[in-house]
Amino acid sequence: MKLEDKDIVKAIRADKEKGFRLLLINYKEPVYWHIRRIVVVHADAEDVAQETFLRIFRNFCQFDESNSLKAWIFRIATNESLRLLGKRKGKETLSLDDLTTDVIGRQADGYYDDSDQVAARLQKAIQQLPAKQQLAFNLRYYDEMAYEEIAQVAGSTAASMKMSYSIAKERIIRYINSNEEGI
Amino acid sequence: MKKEFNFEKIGKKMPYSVPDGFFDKLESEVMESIITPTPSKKDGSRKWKFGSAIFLAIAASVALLLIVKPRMSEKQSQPYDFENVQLAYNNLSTEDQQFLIEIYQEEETLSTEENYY
Repeated sequence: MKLEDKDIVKAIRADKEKGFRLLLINYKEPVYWHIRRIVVVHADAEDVAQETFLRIFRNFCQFDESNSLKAWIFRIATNESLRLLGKRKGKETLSLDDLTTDVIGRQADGYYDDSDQVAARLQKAIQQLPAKQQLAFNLRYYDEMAYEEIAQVAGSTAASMKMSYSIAKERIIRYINSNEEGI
Repeated sequence: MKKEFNFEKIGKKMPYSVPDGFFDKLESEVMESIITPTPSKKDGSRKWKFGSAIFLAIAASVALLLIVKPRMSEKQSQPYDFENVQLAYNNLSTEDQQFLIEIYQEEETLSTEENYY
C-alpha cells in the first residue's frame, strides 16, 4: 500500500528508523530509476541509490515540511548522480550546466536490453537533450511530477521547467522522426 | 509515409533492467547501513570496513592506556603513546590508508555542510 508523503514524514518524526523504512519502500524504485536514467550504468545507479538514501536518513532533520518530500528526495538523488558523474570526470561534482552529451550518453552495461528498439531510441533521444531539458522531461514523463516540484529538484522556476519540458518533447519527436520512419 | 510519433504508444518502457531481487537487496542493505553502519560488500563502498578496524585499534590503545598503567620511570624518556595506533595504520595498504583519509574528510564535510539540501 502506497503511503502519502505526509504520513511518511509523520512516521519518521515519530520513529526515525521505522518511518524511514516506509520511505524506502515507497521510494526505492522511483529513486533508483531516476538515478539510472542519469547515470545509465546499473552498478553506478546502485551505488548512488544507496548513498542517496543514506543522505536522506542522515539529513532528514533538514527537510522543510512546507516543501514537497518527493522533490526533496529527488533533488538529493539528482545531486548524488551528478556527484558520481563528476568523479568520473575528475571533478568534485557536476552541475546541470556541466552535463554534456559525452557524459550523458554513457555506455550501458549488461543490464541493458535494446531488443525493444522503441524504448531504446526514446532513451537515446532523451540523452541528446541538454541536461535541464532532460531532467524536466524525465521527471514529468516518468515520475509525473508537478512543475512546481520539478522546479524544486532543478533549483529553477515552474514556468522555466514547463518550457523545458515542452521543448524537450518537441526535440525528442524531431530526433526520432529524423532517425527512422516513425513509431 | 512517416507516422506521427506517439508517446502514449511507447509508455514508460526503458531498455534498462536490474538483477532479480535487486530492490529487496537495496532495501535491506540501506537499512543495515543505517541500523549498524557496517561495510558494504561491494569494493566500491567498503569505506566502513577499515574505519572500523582503525577505530578498534584506537579504542584498544586507549583501553591499554587506561587499564594497564605503565610505569613511567625517570629513565623512560618516551611516554607510552599511540604507538599501536600508528603501527596499525602503517600495516594498512596505501589504498586502505587513503580510504580512511576519505572517510574522515567526508565526515568532516558532512558536519560542516550548510543547508546543502
